Amino acid sequence: MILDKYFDKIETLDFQVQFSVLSGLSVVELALSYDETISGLLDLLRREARYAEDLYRRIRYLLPRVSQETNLSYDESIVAYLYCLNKTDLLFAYRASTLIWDTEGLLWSRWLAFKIIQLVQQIEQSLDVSSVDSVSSARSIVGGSELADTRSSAATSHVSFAASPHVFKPFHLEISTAIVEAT
Amino acid sequence: MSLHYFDLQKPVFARNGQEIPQPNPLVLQKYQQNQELVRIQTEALIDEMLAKGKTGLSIRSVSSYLYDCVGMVFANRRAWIDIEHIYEILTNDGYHLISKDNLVVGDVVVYTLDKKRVHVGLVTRVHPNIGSIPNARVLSKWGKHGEIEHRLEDVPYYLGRPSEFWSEKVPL
Repeated sequence: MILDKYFDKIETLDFQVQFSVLSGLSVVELALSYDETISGLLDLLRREARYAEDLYRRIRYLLPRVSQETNLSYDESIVAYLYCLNKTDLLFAYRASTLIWDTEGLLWSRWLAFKIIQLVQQIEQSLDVSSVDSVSSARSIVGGSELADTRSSAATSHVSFAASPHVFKPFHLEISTAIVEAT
Repeated sequence: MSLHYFDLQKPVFARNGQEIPQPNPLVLQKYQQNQELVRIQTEALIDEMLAKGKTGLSIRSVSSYLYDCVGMVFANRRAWIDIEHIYEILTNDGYHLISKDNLVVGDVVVYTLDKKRVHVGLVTRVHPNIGSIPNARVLSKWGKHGEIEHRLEDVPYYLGRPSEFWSEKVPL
Protein backbone atom coordinates (compact mmCIF):
# COMPACT_ATOMS: atom_id res chain seq x y z
CA MET A 1 0.00 0.00 0.00
CA ILE A 2 1.23 3.46 -0.86
CA LEU A 3 0.92 4.60 2.75
CA ASP A 4 3.31 1.91 3.95
CA LYS A 5 6.40 3.80 2.86
CA TYR A 6 5.27 6.73 4.97
CA PHE A 7 4.51 4.47 7.93
CA ASP A 8 7.96 2.90 7.65
CA LYS A 9 9.67 6.29 7.71
CA ILE A 10 7.53 8.01 10.32
CA GLU A 11 7.78 5.15 12.79
CA THR A 12 11.59 4.98 12.84
CA LEU A 13 13.65 6.10 15.80
CA ASP A 14 15.39 8.67 13.57
CA PHE A 15 12.09 10.34 12.80
CA GLN A 16 10.79 10.26 16.35
CA VAL A 17 13.94 11.66 17.92
CA GLN A 18 13.77 14.83 15.80
CA PHE A 19 10.57 15.80 17.57
CA SER A 20 11.12 14.35 21.04
CA VAL A 21 13.77 17.02 21.71
CA LEU A 22 11.33 19.91 21.34
CA SER A 23 9.74 22.05 24.03
CA GLY A 24 6.27 23.03 22.93
CA LEU A 25 3.42 21.90 20.71
CA SER A 26 3.74 24.97 18.49
CA VAL A 27 7.38 24.05 17.81
CA VAL A 28 6.42 20.43 17.12
CA GLU A 29 3.87 21.66 14.57
CA LEU A 30 6.43 24.03 13.06
CA ALA A 31 8.98 21.23 12.74
CA LEU A 32 6.39 18.89 11.23
CA SER A 33 5.53 21.56 8.67
CA TYR A 34 9.18 21.54 7.53
CA ASP A 35 9.49 17.77 7.29
CA GLU A 36 9.59 16.41 3.73
CA THR A 37 8.01 13.08 4.62
CA ILE A 38 5.10 14.86 6.26
CA SER A 39 4.73 17.17 3.26
CA GLY A 40 4.56 14.11 1.01
CA LEU A 41 1.96 12.46 3.20
CA LEU A 42 -0.12 15.65 3.29
CA ASP A 43 0.00 15.92 -0.51
CA LEU A 44 -1.18 12.32 -0.79
CA LEU A 45 -4.04 12.87 1.65
CA ARG A 46 -5.15 15.97 -0.25
CA ARG A 47 -5.17 14.02 -3.53
CA GLU A 48 -6.71 10.83 -2.11
CA ALA A 49 -9.06 11.65 0.75
CA ARG A 50 -9.87 7.97 1.29
CA TYR A 51 -6.45 7.50 2.90
CA ALA A 52 -7.55 9.52 5.91
CA GLU A 53 -9.35 6.49 7.28
CA ASP A 54 -6.23 4.36 6.82
CA LEU A 55 -4.25 6.93 8.78
CA TYR A 56 -6.87 6.89 11.51
CA ARG A 57 -6.63 3.07 11.63
CA ARG A 58 -2.86 3.32 11.84
CA ILE A 59 -3.15 5.56 14.89
CA ARG A 60 -5.50 3.02 16.49
CA TYR A 61 -2.99 0.30 15.70
CA LEU A 62 -0.10 2.21 17.29
CA LEU A 63 -1.86 3.48 20.38
CA PRO A 64 -1.38 0.46 22.63
CA ARG A 65 2.06 -0.36 21.27
CA VAL A 66 5.61 0.51 22.21
CA SER A 67 8.56 0.66 19.85
CA GLN A 68 10.86 -2.37 19.87
CA GLU A 69 13.74 0.02 19.19
CA THR A 70 13.12 2.30 22.16
CA ASN A 71 10.54 0.56 24.32
CA LEU A 72 8.67 3.87 24.24
CA SER A 73 5.28 4.76 22.84
CA TYR A 74 5.00 5.99 19.26
CA ASP A 75 4.13 9.47 20.51
CA GLU A 76 6.00 11.39 17.80
CA SER A 77 4.68 9.13 15.01
CA ILE A 78 1.13 9.47 16.27
CA VAL A 79 1.35 13.24 16.57
CA ALA A 80 2.65 13.34 13.00
CA TYR A 81 -0.35 11.34 11.75
CA LEU A 82 -2.75 13.42 13.81
CA TYR A 83 -1.16 16.61 12.47
CA CYS A 84 -1.81 15.38 8.91
CA LEU A 85 -5.41 14.39 9.69
CA ASN A 86 -5.99 17.76 11.34
CA LYS A 87 -4.91 19.46 8.11
CA THR A 88 -6.99 17.29 5.81
CA ASP A 89 -9.90 15.60 7.57
CA LEU A 90 -11.10 17.06 10.85
CA LEU A 91 -13.67 14.30 11.38
CA PHE A 92 -11.03 11.58 11.49
CA ALA A 93 -8.72 13.90 13.41
CA TYR A 94 -11.41 14.28 16.04
CA ARG A 95 -12.13 10.56 16.19
CA ALA A 96 -8.45 9.82 16.63
CA SER A 97 -8.16 12.56 19.26
CA THR A 98 -10.83 10.98 21.45
CA LEU A 99 -8.89 7.70 21.41
CA ILE A 100 -5.55 9.37 22.04
CA TRP A 101 -6.99 11.36 24.92
CA ASP A 102 -7.62 8.15 26.86
CA THR A 103 -4.16 6.70 26.27
CA GLU A 104 -1.28 6.72 28.76
CA GLY A 105 2.33 7.56 27.93
CA LEU A 106 1.76 10.22 25.29
CA LEU A 107 2.78 13.86 25.44
CA TRP A 108 2.68 15.55 22.02
CA SER A 109 -0.22 13.44 20.72
CA ARG A 110 -2.41 14.18 23.75
CA TRP A 111 -1.47 17.85 23.56
CA LEU A 112 -2.59 18.08 19.92
CA ALA A 113 -5.63 15.89 20.62
CA PHE A 114 -6.64 18.34 23.34
CA LYS A 115 -6.39 21.22 20.88
CA ILE A 116 -8.49 19.39 18.29
CA ILE A 117 -11.18 18.43 20.80
CA GLN A 118 -11.38 22.06 21.88
CA LEU A 119 -11.70 23.13 18.24
CA VAL A 120 -14.61 20.76 17.67
CA GLN A 121 -16.30 22.00 20.81
CA GLN A 122 -15.98 25.55 19.56
CA ILE A 123 -17.51 24.57 16.24
CA GLU A 124 -20.42 22.87 17.96
CA GLN A 125 -20.98 25.80 20.26
CA SER A 126 -20.99 28.21 17.33
CA LEU A 127 -23.72 26.07 15.77
CA ASP A 128 -25.75 26.55 18.94
CA VAL A 129 -26.52 22.85 19.35
CA SER A 130 -26.81 22.83 23.12
CA SER A 131 -29.44 20.07 23.04
CA VAL A 132 -27.23 17.70 21.09
CA ASP A 133 -25.59 14.99 23.18
CA SER A 134 -22.33 15.43 21.36
CA VAL A 135 -21.59 18.71 23.07
CA SER A 136 -21.78 17.26 26.55
CA SER A 137 -19.90 14.15 25.45
CA ALA A 138 -17.06 16.19 24.04
CA ARG A 139 -17.01 18.42 27.08
CA SER A 140 -16.73 15.46 29.41
CA ILE A 141 -13.68 14.31 27.49
CA VAL A 142 -11.61 17.36 28.29
CA GLY A 143 -13.18 18.44 31.56
CA GLY A 144 -15.57 21.33 31.32
CA SER A 145 -13.65 23.83 33.41
CA GLU A 146 -10.70 23.86 31.03
CA LEU A 147 -12.55 25.16 28.01
CA ALA A 148 -11.33 28.72 28.36
CA ASP A 149 -7.72 27.76 27.62
CA THR A 150 -8.10 28.08 23.89
CA ARG A 151 -5.10 28.55 21.66
CA SER A 152 -5.08 31.02 18.80
CA SER A 153 -4.53 28.47 16.05
CA ALA A 154 -7.68 26.60 16.99
CA ALA A 155 -9.55 29.87 16.93
CA THR A 156 -8.18 30.63 13.49
CA SER A 157 -9.38 27.30 12.12
CA HIS A 158 -12.69 27.93 13.79
CA VAL A 159 -13.08 31.22 11.98
CA SER A 160 -12.34 29.65 8.63
CA PHE A 161 -14.94 26.94 9.23
CA ALA A 162 -17.50 29.46 10.36
CA ALA A 163 -17.02 31.32 7.11
CA SER A 164 -18.19 28.26 5.18
CA PRO A 165 -21.64 27.30 6.48
CA HIS A 166 -22.30 24.99 3.54
CA VAL A 167 -19.37 22.86 4.71
CA PHE A 168 -20.35 23.29 8.29
CA LYS A 169 -23.79 21.65 8.57
CA PRO A 170 -22.95 18.25 7.09
CA PHE A 171 -19.67 18.33 8.99
CA HIS A 172 -21.55 18.81 12.23
CA LEU A 173 -23.72 15.77 11.54
CA GLU A 174 -20.61 13.71 10.89
CA ILE A 175 -19.01 14.93 14.08
CA SER A 176 -22.07 14.01 16.10
CA THR A 177 -22.03 10.52 14.60
CA ALA A 178 -18.34 10.19 15.32
CA ILE A 179 -18.82 11.16 18.92
CA VAL A 180 -21.54 8.58 19.39
CA GLU A 181 -19.32 5.91 17.85
CA ALA A 182 -16.30 6.95 19.87
CA THR A 183 -18.19 6.86 23.13
CA MET B 1 9.86 7.50 44.63
CA SER B 2 8.61 8.64 41.28
CA LEU B 3 7.24 12.13 40.98
CA HIS B 4 4.08 12.79 39.06
CA TYR B 5 4.12 16.09 37.30
CA PHE B 6 0.37 16.44 37.41
CA ASP B 7 0.31 15.98 41.18
CA LEU B 8 3.02 18.55 41.72
CA GLN B 9 2.33 21.27 39.20
CA LYS B 10 2.50 24.60 40.98
CA PRO B 11 2.46 28.14 39.67
CA VAL B 12 5.74 29.68 38.57
CA PHE B 13 6.26 33.42 38.75
CA ALA B 14 8.64 35.78 36.97
CA ARG B 15 10.69 38.29 38.96
CA ASN B 16 8.11 41.01 38.36
CA GLY B 17 5.39 38.80 39.85
CA GLN B 18 3.70 37.82 36.63
CA GLU B 19 2.68 34.17 36.51
CA ILE B 20 4.39 32.14 33.81
CA PRO B 21 1.85 30.08 31.85
CA GLN B 22 2.17 26.31 31.98
CA PRO B 23 0.46 23.71 29.82
CA ASN B 24 -2.97 22.61 30.94
CA PRO B 25 -2.26 19.90 33.54
CA LEU B 26 -4.88 17.68 31.94
CA VAL B 27 -2.63 17.43 28.89
CA LEU B 28 0.29 16.14 30.94
CA GLN B 29 -1.47 13.99 33.50
CA LYS B 30 -1.11 10.68 31.64
CA TYR B 31 2.50 11.23 30.66
CA GLN B 32 5.08 9.76 32.96
CA GLN B 33 8.73 9.30 32.11
CA ASN B 34 10.83 6.32 33.06
CA GLN B 35 14.33 7.41 34.02
CA GLU B 36 16.06 4.34 32.60
CA LEU B 37 14.24 4.69 29.27
CA VAL B 38 15.08 8.40 29.16
CA ARG B 39 18.73 7.49 29.70
CA ILE B 40 18.70 4.88 26.92
CA GLN B 41 16.99 7.23 24.49
CA THR B 42 19.27 10.15 25.38
CA GLU B 43 22.35 7.99 24.80
CA ALA B 44 20.93 6.88 21.45
CA LEU B 45 20.40 10.51 20.53
CA ILE B 46 23.97 11.40 21.50
CA ASP B 47 25.29 8.50 19.39
CA GLU B 48 23.29 9.79 16.44
CA MET B 49 24.67 13.30 16.93
CA LEU B 50 28.21 11.89 17.13
CA ALA B 51 27.64 10.07 13.85
CA LYS B 52 26.83 13.46 12.32
CA GLY B 53 30.14 14.88 13.54
CA LYS B 54 28.75 16.67 16.58
CA THR B 55 31.41 15.83 19.15
CA GLY B 56 31.90 17.04 22.68
CA LEU B 57 28.38 16.29 23.87
CA SER B 58 27.99 15.06 27.40
CA ILE B 59 24.94 14.00 29.34
CA ARG B 60 24.70 15.88 32.61
CA SER B 61 21.59 14.14 33.90
CA VAL B 62 18.40 12.32 33.03
CA SER B 63 15.25 12.53 35.06
CA SER B 64 11.85 10.96 35.26
CA TYR B 65 10.46 14.33 36.26
CA LEU B 66 8.85 16.25 33.42
CA TYR B 67 10.52 19.58 32.70
CA ASP B 68 11.94 21.16 29.59
CA CYS B 69 14.63 23.62 28.55
CA VAL B 70 12.69 26.64 29.81
CA GLY B 71 11.85 24.85 33.06
CA MET B 72 15.52 23.98 33.53
CA VAL B 73 16.75 27.57 33.14
CA PHE B 74 13.87 29.50 34.71
CA ALA B 75 12.07 27.15 37.10
CA ASN B 76 14.83 25.10 38.73
CA ARG B 77 13.83 21.93 36.88
CA ARG B 78 10.35 22.03 38.37
CA ALA B 79 8.13 22.76 35.39
CA TRP B 80 7.41 22.22 31.73
CA ILE B 81 7.05 25.69 30.25
CA ASP B 82 6.26 26.08 26.58
CA ILE B 83 9.10 27.79 24.72
CA GLU B 84 6.57 30.16 23.17
CA HIS B 85 6.62 32.10 26.48
CA ILE B 86 10.40 32.61 26.53
CA TYR B 87 10.37 36.24 25.43
CA GLU B 88 7.90 37.34 28.10
CA ILE B 89 9.86 35.41 30.75
CA LEU B 90 13.14 37.05 29.75
CA THR B 91 11.65 40.54 29.73
CA ASN B 92 9.63 40.04 32.93
CA ASP B 93 12.81 38.80 34.63
CA GLY B 94 14.77 41.89 33.55
CA TYR B 95 17.04 40.23 31.00
CA HIS B 96 18.52 42.29 28.17
CA LEU B 97 20.08 41.34 24.86
CA ILE B 98 23.86 41.27 24.71
CA SER B 99 26.39 40.71 21.97
CA LYS B 100 27.71 37.21 21.39
CA ASP B 101 31.20 38.58 22.11
CA ASN B 102 30.14 39.57 25.63
CA LEU B 103 28.87 36.14 26.70
CA VAL B 104 29.88 34.99 30.16
CA VAL B 105 29.04 31.95 32.25
CA GLY B 106 25.43 32.10 33.42
CA ASP B 107 24.08 33.99 30.42
CA VAL B 108 21.21 32.60 28.42
CA VAL B 109 21.23 31.55 24.76
CA VAL B 110 18.01 31.47 22.75
CA TYR B 111 17.93 29.29 19.64
CA THR B 112 15.72 30.15 16.69
CA LEU B 113 14.43 28.29 13.68
CA ASP B 114 13.22 30.59 10.91
CA LYS B 115 13.09 33.47 13.40
CA LYS B 116 10.86 31.52 15.81
CA ARG B 117 12.31 30.94 19.27
CA VAL B 118 12.50 27.18 19.75
CA HIS B 119 15.08 26.42 22.45
CA VAL B 120 17.00 27.94 25.36
CA GLY B 121 20.17 27.01 27.22
CA LEU B 122 22.49 28.24 29.92
CA VAL B 123 26.13 29.17 29.18
CA THR B 124 28.45 27.01 31.29
CA ARG B 125 31.86 27.85 29.89
CA VAL B 126 33.39 30.50 27.69
CA HIS B 127 36.87 30.03 26.30
CA PRO B 128 38.83 32.57 24.26
CA ASN B 129 37.30 33.29 20.88
CA ILE B 130 38.24 31.21 17.90
CA GLY B 131 37.72 33.47 14.94
CA SER B 132 34.55 35.45 15.40
CA ILE B 133 32.64 32.76 17.29
CA PRO B 134 32.96 32.53 21.06
CA ASN B 135 33.98 29.06 22.07
CA ALA B 136 31.13 28.64 24.50
CA ARG B 137 29.54 25.59 26.00
CA VAL B 138 25.91 25.44 26.90
CA LEU B 139 23.78 23.26 29.18
CA SER B 140 20.28 22.64 27.92
CA LYS B 141 17.44 20.16 28.30
CA TRP B 142 16.47 18.48 25.06
CA GLY B 143 12.73 17.98 25.30
CA LYS B 144 11.86 14.58 26.75
CA HIS B 145 15.55 13.67 26.84
CA GLY B 146 18.18 14.53 29.42
CA GLU B 147 20.25 17.63 30.08
CA ILE B 148 23.13 17.84 27.65
CA GLU B 149 26.24 20.00 27.82
CA HIS B 150 27.24 20.89 24.28
CA ARG B 151 29.06 23.38 22.12
CA LEU B 152 27.08 26.52 21.41
CA GLU B 153 26.05 25.38 17.93
CA ASP B 154 25.74 21.63 18.45
CA VAL B 155 22.05 20.94 18.89
CA PRO B 156 19.62 18.81 16.85
CA TYR B 157 18.37 20.49 13.69
CA TYR B 158 14.93 21.46 14.94
CA LEU B 159 16.42 23.13 18.04
CA GLY B 160 17.63 25.81 15.65
CA ARG B 161 20.67 28.06 15.73
CA PRO B 162 22.01 30.21 18.60
CA SER B 163 20.62 33.63 17.68
CA GLU B 164 19.98 35.67 20.80
CA PHE B 165 22.14 36.13 23.86
CA TRP B 166 20.57 37.44 27.03
CA SER B 167 21.90 38.50 30.42
CA GLU B 168 20.29 39.81 33.60
CA LYS B 169 23.64 41.20 34.82
CA VAL B 170 23.69 44.81 35.82
CA PRO B 171 27.12 46.50 35.58
CA LEU B 172 28.67 47.08 39.04
